[in-house]
Amino acid sequence: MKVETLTKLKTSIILFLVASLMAACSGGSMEGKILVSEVPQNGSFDLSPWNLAQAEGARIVAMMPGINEDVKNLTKDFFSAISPSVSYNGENMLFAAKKEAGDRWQIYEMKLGSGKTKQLTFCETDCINPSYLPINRFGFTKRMNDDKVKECDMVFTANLDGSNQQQITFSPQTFAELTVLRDGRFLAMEKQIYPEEGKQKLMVMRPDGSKLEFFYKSDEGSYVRSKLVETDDEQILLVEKNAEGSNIASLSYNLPLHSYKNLSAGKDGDFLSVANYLTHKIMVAFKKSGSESFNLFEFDPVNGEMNELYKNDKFDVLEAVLVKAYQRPKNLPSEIQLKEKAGLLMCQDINFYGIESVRDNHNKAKANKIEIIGVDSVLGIVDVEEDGSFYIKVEADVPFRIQTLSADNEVVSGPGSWYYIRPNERRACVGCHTGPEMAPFNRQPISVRKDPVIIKNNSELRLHSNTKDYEHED
Amino acid sequence: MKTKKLYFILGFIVVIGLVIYFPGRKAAREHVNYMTAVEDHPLNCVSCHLHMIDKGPIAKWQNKDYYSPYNLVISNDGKTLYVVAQDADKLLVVDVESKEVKQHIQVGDFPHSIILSKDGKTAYVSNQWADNVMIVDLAKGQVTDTISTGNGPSGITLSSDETFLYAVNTFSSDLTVIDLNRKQEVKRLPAGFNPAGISLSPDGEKIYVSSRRGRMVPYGEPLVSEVTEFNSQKNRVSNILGIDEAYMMENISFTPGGDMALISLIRPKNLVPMVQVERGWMMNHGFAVIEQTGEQRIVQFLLDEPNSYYSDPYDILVSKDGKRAFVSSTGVNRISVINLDSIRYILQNYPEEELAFLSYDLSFSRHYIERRIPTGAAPKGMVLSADGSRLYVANQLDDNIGVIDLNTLESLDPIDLGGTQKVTVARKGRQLFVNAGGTFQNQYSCYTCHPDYHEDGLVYNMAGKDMGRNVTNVQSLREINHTAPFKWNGLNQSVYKQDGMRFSTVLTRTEAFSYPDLDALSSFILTGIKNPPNMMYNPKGELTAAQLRGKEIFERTVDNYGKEIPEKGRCVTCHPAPYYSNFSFEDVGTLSESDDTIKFDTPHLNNIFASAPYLHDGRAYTLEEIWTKYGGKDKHGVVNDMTKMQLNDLIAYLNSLGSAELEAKEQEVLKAGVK
Repeated sequence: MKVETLTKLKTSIILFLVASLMAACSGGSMEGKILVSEVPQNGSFDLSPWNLAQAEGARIVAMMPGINEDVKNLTKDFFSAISPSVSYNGENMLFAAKKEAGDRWQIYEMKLGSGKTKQLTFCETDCINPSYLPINRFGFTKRMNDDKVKECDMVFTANLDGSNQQQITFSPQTFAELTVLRDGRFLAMEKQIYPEEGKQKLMVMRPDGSKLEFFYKSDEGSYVRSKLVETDDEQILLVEKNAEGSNIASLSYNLPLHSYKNLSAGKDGDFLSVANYLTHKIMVAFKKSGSESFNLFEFDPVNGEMNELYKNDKFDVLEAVLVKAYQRPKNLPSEIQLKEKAGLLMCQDINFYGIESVRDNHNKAKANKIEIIGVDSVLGIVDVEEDGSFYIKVEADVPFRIQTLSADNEVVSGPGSWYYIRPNERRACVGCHTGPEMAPFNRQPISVRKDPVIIKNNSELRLHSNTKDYEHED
Repeated sequence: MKTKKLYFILGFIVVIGLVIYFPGRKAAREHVNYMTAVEDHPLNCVSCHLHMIDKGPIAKWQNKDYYSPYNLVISNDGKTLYVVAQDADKLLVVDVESKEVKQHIQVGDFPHSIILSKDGKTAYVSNQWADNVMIVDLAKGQVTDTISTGNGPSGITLSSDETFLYAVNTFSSDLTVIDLNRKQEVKRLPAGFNPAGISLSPDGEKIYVSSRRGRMVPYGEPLVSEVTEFNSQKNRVSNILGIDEAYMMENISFTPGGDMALISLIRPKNLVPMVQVERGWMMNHGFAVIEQTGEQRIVQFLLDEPNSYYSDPYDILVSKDGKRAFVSSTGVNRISVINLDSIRYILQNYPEEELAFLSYDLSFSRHYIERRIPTGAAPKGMVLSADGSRLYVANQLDDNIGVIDLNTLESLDPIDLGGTQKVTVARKGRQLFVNAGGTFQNQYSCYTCHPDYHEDGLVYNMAGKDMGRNVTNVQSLREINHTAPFKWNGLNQSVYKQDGMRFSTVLTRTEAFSYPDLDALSSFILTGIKNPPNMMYNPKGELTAAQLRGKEIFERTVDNYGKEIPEKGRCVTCHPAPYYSNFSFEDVGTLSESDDTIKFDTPHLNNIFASAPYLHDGRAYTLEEIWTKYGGKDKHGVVNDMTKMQLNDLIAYLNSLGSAELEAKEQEVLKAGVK
């Protein structure tokens, strides 16, 4: 054989071997597998989304439905791992984990094919609840501590290499279980924690923290105990628990407050979480009786059929997610400009309390002023216009609540929920407690015919700092 | 030797290529960055330099002819559909059973509506850009008569005895009454502002005409649009009803029992600073009910839901049993099915105070919406089959007729009209333009503020910075190619920038259009939107005596006292033909206290008669007011020496200005010294 030909042959073989090695290193596809987050059954962990940080010894395994032998522990290098979130192309996973027992929870990303893992956060406190944002960023919650406001999980976002970490919520509300909706917003569980603990609600906000607003609240005595999941046909699935038990329920994205459906009526047992699975089928973490562990089932809400997908007698399944490519949510633009120090807030009429007040014939006293109350002190009192409107400029990212006052400074209504306005955010509302279903009146508020009233705070007034005197400028 | 020469030539070419490529590429990158206002748009010359060509053989080659079905009717036996193919100027005769188009009947320019005589033998077609109605003998398949109307005929209806035909003139805002025996217009009655919809009550006594635009009022005053009521026996206006906070009332239907009239409408929030889209803060969509019994109250209802909006309702139709209404929402490709018994219950049982607030409650539609049925692209007019079991809908931008089974409320296979299957770039752009998918929760489309690709006559508070400042009048998109920059402040050098990232941040508040979509949208906006012919003031390109006098005033260089007018004070300096703009920035003395200090981009004046109100904030309701109310200091041209007659002549001339293409021809003729 000619020397030249031999050389070419050798080169080809070497190239082939290198390519094979690279292919082998990149790992196989995990498409179709189910990632299961599970926690040892004998632990003292209270299986609640608010207590996820206490899930000691938890792990994330990958399994193929129907093949129980092929269960792979993806997080064996970690002491504890929870909250798997699969990227929209189905190739990567975000999760929260701690390497050693005493560590803080941090967010990691794993390439599902190769198992290679990268740490994304290096927080001094617990970072959990990761969720992919549409393009190159992710959201998570981070524990913030303060001697006044105590422990509070704020929402943050960061680039997928961990850089450019930004806090996006600023009020004394704690958040859990972030879901990114198709419309690009976060949907999350929320509870007010200061001055008193409030009832759990579901809230939506844009990925820059702006336009935080109410989405859903369970009836008295019930609460949502799972991460929310959005289906292809615009339903939001959740697990709701009350004294009688728990249910899989759905809400219509279009009409969340009036579309509650119990999908598991008549099913005895306890549900813990829900996830998308196949067409018309969902995955649920469920146990039939108190003595059993939570296992993973495929559930058909139409005929009520339940088929076991995964079981481990030593672990309770917390949640599961199917590995596949998903439609990417909308990548929402942001009006936030961090160099700006303030934002704007307008209200059309503080004496309008929504259609229910018309229905119930409310006869509240007329309010003439608003009082803007910060965490520690009153930030300002502003006279409203004749039409009940106000227009104020507030320091960005400083939490406040509003209550309305009569001419004699008696409280008429409030204080309402916590607000914060992001830098350069402009926000508006119709009236007081009018809810998320009230469209505005098409009328120009008198207040916007003038410059906004500036509520000028001392710059040290923050959620986690001491009281300072305020200045109010007309 | 030969090989060496070859290598040398190749090497030389490569070197030259590199020399051209790098600086050339850099120049191309800078050019594209400037035109698109982003830094990563692909360097694709075709995006602009092919798809933005609006004239000549290349434009012709890359565009296709579509039918764009708009309205339709069905024969009495239910076997034949008659479809107005608006972009083809044709009436298509479609066999329902075979789903084939059997005949094409040529009608007039830009046909709008069609109705049939009671015996089904005759069709009447309004031709909006021809200012006439045609009578079509359906047996012969040909037009037998053409009757002149007012300007821009749209909705039409017959009197109950078929003696009279009524044609709504959208552009001249009046109603033509045609005596069908004499086959001519016998009366012209005022009919709101920019009207379109018309319906005869079941008892034949009353005709309602609905307006698309609100009454012109100073910014800040409530928006009210009119429904004009006519006595069809006496052919005169009998009442004017105000519909609060509503406009774009495209169509009307009476229930068969005559207890209600329903009107499709949009509820804009133009007086509210546009700081968010959530919670219905930009546009709501719904319908009004005008009770025909009792107190004849007007109550509005929404189609929308808190997180989902049903943009641009067009047609509204009532089932034959009066129990359901159907509304086509062009912006979201849906038909909403309304339970009218629920509406009746609400009207009878809810207290007055609460009825007034229902059109602000985004969740209330759950009480009467039975179903949302998906359709093809841009559903417009609808018609019921003879037996009421099927609903046919014109899917304007799919060139087909949707078919819905009203027993199951499900879509069946559509009827393909057999037109071009290829979707050109500009056609895709048009689909994007009318679809609300480019805004958060589908709350509105480009078409919502730019109906007919024109403008909606409203002034908005875009609140780009502070609230309440810089209110702006919507500008027309007709023939804006070659008139950059855009926006009143002229900050947008291209449509790309206008509809790109900033647009998404402050207006649509959802993901920006992708580059291919932006290419298509820009292509449509710059090449696909034509001015209607100026039938009202200059139908044949021949100026009247008053218009000619006005032209002289427009071009004058000396005032009435013989004093030379400075160049800046001459109309023709800032407004030269053919676009009547020099595309530069001027302060014409119209800044208000709530405006930032800027100079305005000089708008082009083609078809200016159709763009009221005027000036950047819409404060001038007529062209005349630009000078009589707001021109006191001669900053907007030297005018204060003129007599009223001269001003009238100037206005007459301005009203005569038409499409730039026609104006260019006029200029060529003038330069040739023929005139």
